[in-house]
Amino acid sequence: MRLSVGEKIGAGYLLAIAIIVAGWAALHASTRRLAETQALHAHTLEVLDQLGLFESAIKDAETGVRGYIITGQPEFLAPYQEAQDREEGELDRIERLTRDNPEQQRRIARLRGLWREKEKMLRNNIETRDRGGAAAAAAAADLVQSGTGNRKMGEIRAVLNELRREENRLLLIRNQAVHDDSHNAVRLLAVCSLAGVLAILFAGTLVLRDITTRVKRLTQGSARIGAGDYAARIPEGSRDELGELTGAFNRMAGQLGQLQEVSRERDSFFTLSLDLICIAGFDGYFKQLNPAWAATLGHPVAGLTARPFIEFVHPDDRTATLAAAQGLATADTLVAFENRYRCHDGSYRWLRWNVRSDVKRKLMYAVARDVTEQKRSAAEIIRLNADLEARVSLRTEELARSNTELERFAYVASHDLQEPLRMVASYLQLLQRRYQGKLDADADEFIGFAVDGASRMKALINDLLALSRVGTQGKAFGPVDCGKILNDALDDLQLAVADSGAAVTHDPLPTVTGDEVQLTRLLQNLIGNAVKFRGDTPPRIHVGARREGGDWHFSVRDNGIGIDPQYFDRVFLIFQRLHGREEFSGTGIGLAVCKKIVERHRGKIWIESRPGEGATFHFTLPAAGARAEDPAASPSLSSSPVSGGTLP
Amino acid sequence: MNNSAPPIHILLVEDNPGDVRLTREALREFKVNNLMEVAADGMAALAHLRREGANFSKPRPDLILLDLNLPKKSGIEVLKEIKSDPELMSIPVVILTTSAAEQDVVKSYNLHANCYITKPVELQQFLDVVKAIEEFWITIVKLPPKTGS
Repeated sequence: MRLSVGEKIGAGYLLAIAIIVAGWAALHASTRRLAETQALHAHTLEVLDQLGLFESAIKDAETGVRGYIITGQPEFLAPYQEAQDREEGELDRIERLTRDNPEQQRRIARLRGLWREKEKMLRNNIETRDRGGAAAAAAAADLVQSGTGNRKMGEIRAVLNELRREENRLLLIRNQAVHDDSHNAVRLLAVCSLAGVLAILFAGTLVLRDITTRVKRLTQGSARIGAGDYAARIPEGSRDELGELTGAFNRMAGQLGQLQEVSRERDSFFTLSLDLICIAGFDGYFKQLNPAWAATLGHPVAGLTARPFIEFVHPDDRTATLAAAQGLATADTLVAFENRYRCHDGSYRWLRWNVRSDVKRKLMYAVARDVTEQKRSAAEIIRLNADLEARVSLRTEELARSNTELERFAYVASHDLQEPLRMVASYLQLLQRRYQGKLDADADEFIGFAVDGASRMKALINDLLALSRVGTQGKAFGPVDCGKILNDALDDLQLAVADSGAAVTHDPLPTVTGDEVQLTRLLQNLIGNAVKFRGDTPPRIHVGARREGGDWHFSVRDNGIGIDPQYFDRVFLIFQRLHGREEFSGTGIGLAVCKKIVERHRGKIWIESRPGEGATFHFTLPAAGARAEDPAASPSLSSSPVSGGTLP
Repeated sequence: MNNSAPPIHILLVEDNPGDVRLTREALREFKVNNLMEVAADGMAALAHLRREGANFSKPRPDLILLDLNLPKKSGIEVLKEIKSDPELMSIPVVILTTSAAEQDVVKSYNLHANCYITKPVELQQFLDVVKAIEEFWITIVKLPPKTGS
C-alpha cells in the first residue's frame, strides 16, 4: 500500500459518500416513479369522469327525444342534437386515454357500436314522429313503449360499467404501487445512510488502528534508541508520513550509532595516546587528562587536577608559561611552546606543547610531548657541533696561517736570498771578468761552475718568488678578455714561437672573471711549454674554449712529445722535472705556477696525453657575469686580429 | 780621466760593503772625476749631509745614491728628511735598491725621489746602470748651483 494516512481517511469518506449518494439516487428514482403513478391515477379518474359524461349525454338525448315524440315540440330535440355532435368526440378521447389497455379498447369499440345503434334508433323515432300526425305519434310512442330503446340502453350501461370497473381496479393497483414506492425509497435512504456511517466508522477504525500500532512501534523503537541501542531499527511498513517518520528515526539511529562509534574511537584515541593530551581551563586547572600524563610524570591524574597546573611547572618556566596561557585567552593557537613539568620523583621532564584555545568556553585543548630525550640529544649535538666547528675552524685557521706563513716565507726567503746571491754572482762574474785566463785552467773551470750554479740559483729563486706571488701578490678579480690575454702571451713568446715555426690557432675566446696578469701568465706558460716540448715537426697549438655551466673549459692542445700518464700529477709539483737539463732548459716551476693560478680562480687543471702523441692541458675558469651567458651571442667574445686565425 | 774639472761629489748610502765595492768598481771605470763618500746607515747619512760632529768638513754632495733597506733609519725616512730640508731638497736622490716592490716605488716618488732603480742581479747590467746614472745626472742634467758650501 502506498496510500498516505490522509489518503486512507479520504478513501473511507469517499466510500461513505458514494453509498449515501447511491441512496439518494434510489430515492430520487422512486420519487419519479411515484409522480408517474400519480399521473396515471389522475388519468384513470379522467377516464371515469368522461365515462360519466358520456352516459349522462346519452340519457339526456333519450329523454329529449322522448319529450319530442310526446309533444312534438322541437325544443326537446336540443340534448339529442348536442349528443350527436359530442358523443363521437367523447369516445375518441376515452379511446386515446386508454390506449395502453387493449381490453378497454375493445370495450370502447363495442360501446361505439352500441352508441351508433342507439343514435339510429333515436333518429328513426324522430323521423317517424315527423312523418305525421297522430299515427306517427302513436307509432313513435309504440316504438318507445316497445322497449327496444331501453334494452339498448341497458347494454350500453353494462359496457360502461365494465369500463368503470376496469378503471377502478387499475386505480386501486396504482394507489397501492405509489404507496409501496414511497415506503421503499425511505427504507433505501435509511439503509444507505447507515451503510455510509458504517463505512466511515470502519475506515476510521482501520486507519486509527494502523496508526496506533505503528506509533506504538515507533515509541518503542525510539525508547530503545534513546536507551543507547543504536542498532535498533523500527520496521517501516507503509511509505506514508508515518513511514517517513520511521525512516527518519532509523536514519537518526544510524547516525547516532556512527556518532557513538566516532566518539568511542575518540575516547580510545584520548586514552591510548602516548602524547599527553589535556583540557585545561582559563581558571588555571586541568579539566581532563589522559593516562599518558600519569605514565610520564608519575603523578596520579587526580593529583594533577587537584591543584593549579602552574604548580607543576619548573619555577624558571612559570613566567613564560603564565604569559603563554594568558596569550591563549586572546590568540587561539600556541605552537611548540616548551616548558618543564615536575615528576612525582622531583625530576623534571621537558614538554613541547601545541595548544588551541576556545575563548568562549574558556578552555584550552592541548597536546604535549615529552621531548626531554630530544632536548638532551639536541643539546649534545649542539655541543658536539660547536666543538667540531671550533676544532675545524681552529684547524682551518692553523692551515691558513701556515699556508700564509709558507708563502710569506717563500717570498721573504727568495727576496732576501737575492741579496747574497747577487753578491755571489756579481763577484764571481767580477772574478771571471778580471782574472779569466790569468789563473790556471782549473781556476777558470771552477769559476765557470760557480757562475753557472749562481745563475741557476737565481733562476730558482725568481721562480719561487713568482710562485709565492700568485698567492700573496695577486690582483682583485675582474672581467678578462681571453682573446686579448692570448695576444699578450703570444707577444711575450714571440721569439720562441718564431724560432720553432709554431702555428697557434684558437676558438672564439670568451670573457672570464679573474686576474688578468695571472691568466696571461697561465696561457704564456702553457703555450711556452707546448713550444718547448715540441717533437720533430713544427708545433701546432690550438687553444679551445667551451661553456660548461657557470664555467669555461679551456684546452691547450699540442702535437709535441707528450707526457707519460704516470707523470700527470708530478708535472704540477714545484721543481719537478721529467727531462735532463741538457734536453730541455727550465726549473720545473711553470706548471706549478699554472696549477696555483687556476686553483686561485677556483678552477681545475689536468692533462690528457700519451708519449709521442702530443698533450692537451685542460683547465676551467669561472665565466664572467651571468651564469646563463651564451658564448655564441656574447659581445665579450674575442675580436682580436688573431681571432680564429693562425699565427706563425 | 778628466782631472781639470772639480770632482763630482757622490754620497752612497749603503750598508752592504759588497755593493759599496761594486759601486766603487763601477765608478772607477767612469770618465768623470768623482769622489764618493759612503754612509753605512740612515743616521750616518743625515749626519753627513748636515755636517754634524766629525762631518763638519764634508762637502755637500752633487748626487745621493740611496738604498732603502738600511739599519737605524730606513731609506724612506732619510728621503723624507732630505726632501723636507730646504738646504738639502735640491740634491738629486737616486733610489738604488734590491726592492722591486710597488709600494716602495710609489712611496719613494711620493716623497720626491728623483728616480728609482732596482739593482740588476747581473754584474754587467749593474755596471751599466751605475754608468747610466753617472752619465745622466752628472753629464747630461744641469744641476742647481751648490749653496751653503
